[in-house]
Amino acid sequence: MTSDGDILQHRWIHNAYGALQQRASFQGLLRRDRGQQRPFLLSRSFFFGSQRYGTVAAGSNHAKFEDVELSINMLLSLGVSGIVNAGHDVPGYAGVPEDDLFVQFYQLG
Amino acid sequence: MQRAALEAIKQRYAQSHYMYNLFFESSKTGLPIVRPMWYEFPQDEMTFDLNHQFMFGNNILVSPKIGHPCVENAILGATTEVEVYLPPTSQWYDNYSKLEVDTHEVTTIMHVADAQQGTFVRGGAILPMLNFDDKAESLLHAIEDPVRLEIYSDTMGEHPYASGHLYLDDGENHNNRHHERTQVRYDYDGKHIKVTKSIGDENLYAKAATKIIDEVMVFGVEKAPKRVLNKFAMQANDQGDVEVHHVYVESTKMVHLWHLRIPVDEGLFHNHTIDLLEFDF
Repeated sequence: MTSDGDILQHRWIHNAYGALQQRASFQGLLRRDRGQQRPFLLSRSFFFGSQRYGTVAAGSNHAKFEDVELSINMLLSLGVSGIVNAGHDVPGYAGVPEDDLFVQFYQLG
Repeated sequence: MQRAALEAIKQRYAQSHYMYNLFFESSKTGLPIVRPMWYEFPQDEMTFDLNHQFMFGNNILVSPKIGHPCVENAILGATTEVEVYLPPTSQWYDNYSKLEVDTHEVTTIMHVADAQQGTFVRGGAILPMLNFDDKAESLLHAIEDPVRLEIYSDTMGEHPYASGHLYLDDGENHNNRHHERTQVRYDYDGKHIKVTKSIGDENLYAKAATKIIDEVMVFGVEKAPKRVLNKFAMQANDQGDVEVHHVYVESTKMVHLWHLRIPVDEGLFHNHTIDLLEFDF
């Protein structure tokens, strides 16, 4: 229910919630230091319009070679969708990277 | 392992200005930073199915190593195989050896050394590299360090050619929105290196006057120049010919100049071009 008493269905706003959260954080950061510095935001939830407010972290990738391959596909898709500031955890969010993977992930980064 | 990761990080730092210019362009147009191959080569159907390699901006092609090194190479040591398609409508330079790489109509296998990445620079690019002090504690401490222009000649046309942008602003505050910023374009035509302010006159960034180009490398120059003149110093000091010491490296066809002190933007006007360096052959 909104503050005006309207009933909204969850599925109508589920995706927008991430972007609105970013907007609120962005405005909060601006207000906190009276607009001195550019806010830096990293979010894992995002939607159309998120590119105005910050960077996107593409999520819990594993320290595996397949996920390196996948991270390229994801960042390219995000890029042509308008989310140009996006990135992955280097060298993986979950798991323990072996030496070769560790180096190659940094080099790709 | 640490050394290779550190080298990769330094490489990224050195490309800060190239990346920041991409960010600036992207903030105006929405252009992606990393792009699928077809985005840069829409006429080339070969690029439509490439999911592995990509373009970083319009001038750097990356075909990353993914997988265990397998092939021992007498010179490079352990290498990893990467598949790469270099669109033959452009020339390509290896980012590490600076040698021009042959292009093919098909995808080919290349061997990339442990400390390197499958990275290629498009002929016709001028990359403004941050010549940062290795002892700096962070990128922010080094961001006012000098710039090295790396010029990768496109020699497919009648005259050699290369071009590239450099954008500067504070990086932290919002003064860029009040025109405290500048963007210049460097052009190379085989004989001259010129600079043009590519952003409106209302834009002025004071620190661009003390940000200097201290080194220039031109790749793909067929023969050694007899002499190189610093046209900027001639205009600035009104002292006639100022010859610049230069070295020509035959293996990479490179003209190398250093100890230069050419400011990025000391009060340029929009679309006004000035000569910086001249090569006499």
